[in-house]
Amino acid sequence: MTDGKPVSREALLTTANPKLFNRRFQHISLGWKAYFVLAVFLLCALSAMTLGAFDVGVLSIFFGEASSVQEKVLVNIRLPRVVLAALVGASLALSGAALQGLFRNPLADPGLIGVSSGAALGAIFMIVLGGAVNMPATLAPYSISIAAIFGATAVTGLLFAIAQGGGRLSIVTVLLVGIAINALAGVGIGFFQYISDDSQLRTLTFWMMGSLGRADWTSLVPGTVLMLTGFCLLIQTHRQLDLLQLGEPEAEFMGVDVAYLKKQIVFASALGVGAAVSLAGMIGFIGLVVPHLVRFLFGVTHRALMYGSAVVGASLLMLADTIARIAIPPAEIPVSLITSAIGAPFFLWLIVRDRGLWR
Amino acid sequence: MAAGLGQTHAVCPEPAMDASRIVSAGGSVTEIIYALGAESRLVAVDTTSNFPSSAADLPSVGYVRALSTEGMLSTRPTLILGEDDMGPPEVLSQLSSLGIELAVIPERWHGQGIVEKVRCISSIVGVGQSARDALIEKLQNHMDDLSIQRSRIDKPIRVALLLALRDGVPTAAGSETSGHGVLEMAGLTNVFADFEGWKPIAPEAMIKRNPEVIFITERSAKAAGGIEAVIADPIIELTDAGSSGNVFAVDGMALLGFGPRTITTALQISTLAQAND
Amino acid sequence: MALAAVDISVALNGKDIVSKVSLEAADGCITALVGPNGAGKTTLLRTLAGETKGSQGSVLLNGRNLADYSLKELARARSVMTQSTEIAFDFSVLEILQMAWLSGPRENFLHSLSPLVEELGLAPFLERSFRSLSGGEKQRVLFARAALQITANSTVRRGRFVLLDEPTASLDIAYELQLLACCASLAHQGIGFLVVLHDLNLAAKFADQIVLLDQGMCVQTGTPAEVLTSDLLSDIYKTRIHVEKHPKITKLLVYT
Repeated sequence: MTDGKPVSREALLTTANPKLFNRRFQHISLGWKAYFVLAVFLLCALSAMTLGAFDVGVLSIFFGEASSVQEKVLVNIRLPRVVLAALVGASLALSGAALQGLFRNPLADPGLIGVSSGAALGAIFMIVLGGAVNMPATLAPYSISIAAIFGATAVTGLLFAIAQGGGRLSIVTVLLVGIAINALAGVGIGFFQYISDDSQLRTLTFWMMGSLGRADWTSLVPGTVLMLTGFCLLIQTHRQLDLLQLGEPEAEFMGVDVAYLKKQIVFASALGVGAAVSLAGMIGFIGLVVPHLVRFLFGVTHRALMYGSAVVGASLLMLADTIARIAIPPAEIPVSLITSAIGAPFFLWLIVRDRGLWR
Repeated sequence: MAAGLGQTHAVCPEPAMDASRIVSAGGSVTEIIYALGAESRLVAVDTTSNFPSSAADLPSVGYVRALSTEGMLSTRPTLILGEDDMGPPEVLSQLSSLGIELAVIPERWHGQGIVEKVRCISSIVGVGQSARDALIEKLQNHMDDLSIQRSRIDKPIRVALLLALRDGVPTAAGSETSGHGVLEMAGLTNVFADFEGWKPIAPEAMIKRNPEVIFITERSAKAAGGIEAVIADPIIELTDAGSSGNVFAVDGMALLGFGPRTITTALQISTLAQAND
Repeated sequence: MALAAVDISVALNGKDIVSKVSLEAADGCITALVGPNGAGKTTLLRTLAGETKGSQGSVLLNGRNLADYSLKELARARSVMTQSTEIAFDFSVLEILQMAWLSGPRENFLHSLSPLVEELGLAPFLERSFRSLSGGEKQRVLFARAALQITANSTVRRGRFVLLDEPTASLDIAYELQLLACCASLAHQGIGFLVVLHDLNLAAKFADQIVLLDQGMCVQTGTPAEVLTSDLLSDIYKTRIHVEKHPKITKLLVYT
């Protein structure tokens, strides 16, 4: 058993053997890792700002030599796009981390609870039937985004209505409702595809593919407010998510109001993901893969995981968008293809590496 | 402002202030610019601009409905020409907010509509009258030929025009489509005229409507495994068209783009349909 | 100060799992819940912990109804170790133990952690992956976590309880004794224990009070000597059981 010596504080805080489980970087201090991740973020942000089909001449702007067109493009087109990429990436990744914690399942993802589909359905409704809806002229350009947020909210409302009815929002219930919503959304989208004319159909198909090119400052404002609200609500739950990992009754015995926590996370995810989908369409893999990448670096406790996921998600999407913009100029690759191209092989690698541990 | 929401613009825009560097977002628009001899002004085209083949040498700004703002900006255009399907709307508004002229050419799915397109593009781009009139005369001649061909039809020829044949489900042109427009130009009867828009067709409907001739786009025929595979498709096989081998692949852009080639293509399909009657 | 059940009945899916059981577990003592499989021990323990599904009757903690406590207050007053050892993500043992840290500075928590880790021999495991441990090792860690929830968050010991559901199920004899000895020393400091045990000898050795359950009903409550009698046990367990007072030690010995 023990050799009778009291356990030293150092022993409690440092690693004996970093190879013992899949946290290769555990021996590196949190501070250094945080700096590294922030440096990556800054690098991705800077390259997103400077690289692109159009030379915005960031350096020339510093020297005051840029043309007014360059400045305008940088400020009105490039900058909102980069900001949108960062916000959407952070939103999706953070929701993914929170949902994986909530469902205690490494495969959870914002698409799972049906929010992305609800948002997509709302947007598609507006694309196909929007002519029939009377929108005030000032709102018309944002009609699709507004409809998407309505869709995301409707799904969340549905989830809560079902939860209230049963009294408790069991995780299995949420999953099943998510599957049902995804199926319903599929039917709805199929229906709209059927009744749409050729023009709407093509618009719809490309909208669904996901693009960060639709950003401008005015449309960014409501979406940003929603996404930031989602962030705050989610990050706040990190400690409770840790406790939840031992089990729901176990967490409750440790003082966590599990029913409230579930609602908070589902609602905050719906906000963030709904706003993200409404502004950028469906962009996949970020919510699923980024949390795993961050766990690899920072370990599994939710505080580092959630902050890390937000920063890494933002960086990843900014990087993916930069690649999307510079790979085949002057055309663009849909950003979702890039995130899948990065995400899918990485995910396969994770599965293979951890196969002994997965249930 | 151009809307990607299914609304059409009825009126040809004003002549452009500066048409020296043009981005063309639409296969038929590109075709007409070349036909007018103004191609030297083109700096970039979209992916649907595949005719003439030299258009493919120009830089590409992406699919017409998914254009890239910065991509277009990098070609330093003074004018962006396209049709109703240019998009997404946010990109178009970003471009116009930078002061770049956007012109949306109206499209109508008949021969005269093509002539109107030529007039419209000529005026926007500022092409000389002689070039314009020469082209229009050529088009009128083709339309006269077409009209003669049409008049030879004594009894209705039942035709279906397919955009795709995927997993055994054909997508056919109903009314209010470019496909229907071409069939009308060719004087052929669209068996699916009571449908609206491009619609997937159920086997029973295809068999019941029983077209005598079927036209399918070349790209879809290739995707389905070649024209023989299309003819051998279980549903197509049971139609008169299938059983007599009257299934023909036609260049999609030439057929449906409603550029100059559409007139000659209409003539071509009219001739084919009548020959096999 | 005590954790008391007053006429607790629990029915799930139309079946009565627990029928009108009353008991009182005093602090500073170890109360063992014993009985055959299916007697309702786990259900009773969970109800005393605060689960209310399908239950009737009331649970009083230090004289106050459980329903009057907030979840956070309850967490400071009692901790629970369930039988579940599954975890979806790769937490280290230290991280699991840190889940017991509900309030106060981290220094204090680590200060309380140290003696318990030493006593349970968990020092070599601290940086290991929880998932990589054996079933028994996991149980010892989870026991430490439950104990820490009470010892590390406050210096008050009286009126605090640790509820354990079969904490020794996967442990070998040495570790069984170690864990219960740890309970005994914590009980000595004033903490009350309510422990579901399947091993009657452990109950005989360590429990101050035994509650014998059978088919959801409380058959007998009292000291080990009062409850662990040959006739009663043979009747309840439906097999010939002998109970003797060991000549050399003062505890009872149960065997078949």
